[in-house]
Amino acid sequence: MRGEAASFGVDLVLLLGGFGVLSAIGIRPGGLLSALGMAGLAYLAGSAVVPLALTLLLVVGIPFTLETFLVVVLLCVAVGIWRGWGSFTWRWDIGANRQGPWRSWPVDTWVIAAFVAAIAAFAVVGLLNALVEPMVSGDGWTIWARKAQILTEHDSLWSGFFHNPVYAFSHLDYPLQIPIFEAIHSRAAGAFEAPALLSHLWLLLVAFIWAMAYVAHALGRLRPVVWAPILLLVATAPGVWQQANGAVDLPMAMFACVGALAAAIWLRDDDFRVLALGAIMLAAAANTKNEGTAAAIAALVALGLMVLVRKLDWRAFTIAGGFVIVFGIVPWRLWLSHEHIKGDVRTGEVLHPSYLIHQFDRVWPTLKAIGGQLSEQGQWSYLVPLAAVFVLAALVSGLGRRIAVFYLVAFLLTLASFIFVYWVSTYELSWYLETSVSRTVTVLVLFCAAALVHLSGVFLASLGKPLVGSRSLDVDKASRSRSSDP
Amino acid sequence: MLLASQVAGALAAALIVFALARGLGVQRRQATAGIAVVSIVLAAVLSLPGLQNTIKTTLDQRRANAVLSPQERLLLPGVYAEVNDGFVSWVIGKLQPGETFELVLGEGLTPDEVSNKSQWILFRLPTSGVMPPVQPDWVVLYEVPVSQYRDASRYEDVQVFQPGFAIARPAVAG
Repeated sequence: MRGEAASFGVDLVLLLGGFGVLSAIGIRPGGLLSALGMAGLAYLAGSAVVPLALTLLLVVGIPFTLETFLVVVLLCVAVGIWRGWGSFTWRWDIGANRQGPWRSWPVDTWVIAAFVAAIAAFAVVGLLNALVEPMVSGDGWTIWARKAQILTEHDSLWSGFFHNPVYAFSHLDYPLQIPIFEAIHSRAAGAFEAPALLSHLWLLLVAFIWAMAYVAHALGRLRPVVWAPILLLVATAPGVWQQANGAVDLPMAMFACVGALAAAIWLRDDDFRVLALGAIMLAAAANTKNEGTAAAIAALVALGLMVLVRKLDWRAFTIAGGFVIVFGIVPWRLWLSHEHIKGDVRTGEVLHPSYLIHQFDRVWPTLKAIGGQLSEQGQWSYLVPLAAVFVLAALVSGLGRRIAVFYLVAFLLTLASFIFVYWVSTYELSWYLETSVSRTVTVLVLFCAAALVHLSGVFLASLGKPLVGSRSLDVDKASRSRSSDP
Repeated sequence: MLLASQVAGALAAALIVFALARGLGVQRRQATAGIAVVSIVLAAVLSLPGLQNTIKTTLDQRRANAVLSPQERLLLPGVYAEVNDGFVSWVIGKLQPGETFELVLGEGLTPDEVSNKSQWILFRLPTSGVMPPVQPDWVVLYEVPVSQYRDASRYEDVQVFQPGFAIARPAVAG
């Protein structure tokens, strides 16, 4: 019981660290209510940045201990306090339109209240189950929790594991974002127990929905009447919530989704702090799974393309992209290369034309399997077709065309990278597809969810607005407030 | 194909909304924006039963999981892999801290069985004990023929849990 309480203490520490990170990049609460609104994003940011920093420290040989973890969090908090000093006040920062009696609340406030009640019920029921749930997901215990176990019992990247051919089935090249997240909790609990990790992974899912709401509302200025039903649809899609089972496709997709939404908001608003948030989340996605690396690179390429075509702030993009590559991808890849640890796909060997032609008959079955999985609406609650409608409508009408192109390119490049992996892999194809497609498509679905939240908000915002010359109806930048008060 | 037809259906619905809005004299871009209203209503309609189903399913799962003891919860993947956990627990008690071992599974098992069982057994046994197949302190013999561990040229100090399940020290060469 004490161990369990200590492991939930780690969640509070990650939350504090996340507030520090957000404050450091300029996303700061003005008072208690906006701090509460930001809490999901703060927990997600803490769970992104702290394992990223600990990965870097592990790679350079600094021991992984609870003390190191606390030092990293304290640094985040210190930088946050230094950068945000004076911006926070200990009072309920309720907007003027919400100070009256509840009968006079505007529709948006009611929608937020209903959303909070629904997500709170979802969170509590899910947590009650996670507290007693066994970890039966094969990947959950044999790949991710096993690495967490190693990192709980060893302070370094122990060669007895990472160089041990007996453990090859654990995919020794997979990155350490979630194993580190899990190992911090196990260390605080005083013992490693795989099922105990599920409640923290559940909290990560709840934080993701909460974070998406905050990013859409406070940073994207999208109306709750748009994002609330869509995010509820995302949370309750069986393909999403049933994956909080120890496999990390969902956490990776969650980081990538928030990263994509933040990056797309930057495309419209040119607000660097939102781009910085996007970079942090994409770096975490890249450090979670190899597919996350592909998704993060796809999002960066899509963003770079838009920067190039629209002549946006090239310097800001370079800094953000550099952060993702330097902190999210390079440290772990360098360590793997230095230690001669190989992955499933050996790029140098598979890029021969003869090999690609020989394997080409794997492409169509892969495409069919991915398409089949994306059409499982019992799993994904119509998020993909709805997003397709919005992207097409945006491309045709010019409403939010820039962000529609970004989401579309990120989606297609990620899809192409997945097809490539199935194409060149040496695994038996039907087994490989059967055991992985239902999980790997999660990031594609969540890219669709981000597009849906964003574009529907943009569409709704244009209703009742006068047409402005021949320009697209993108919401006028100048009319946007930079305040992050929800 | 199914996905394409679903997307086509959604697009057709969006076109109908657009055409209706235009028919009512709404400007083109605002008619496009009207698609958002319909989609949001659709999302809301779908999400409420979704929430109800999720909560009901999760509560059912909790009821089913709550009857498991902490130990049963911990060992459930091994039950699915049909691992002899009595033997694995017995081996854990035999291994001294820091001792290394090699896991050997019987050749009568299918490749899937070998994969599933060995992954779970290695998850249960102390991680610090596993070594690449060089000279370990112990060999853990799982579901092997009895004759295998009776071979004195290969093993010594054999300790048997039950027929086919034993640990032994590798015989010193020469």
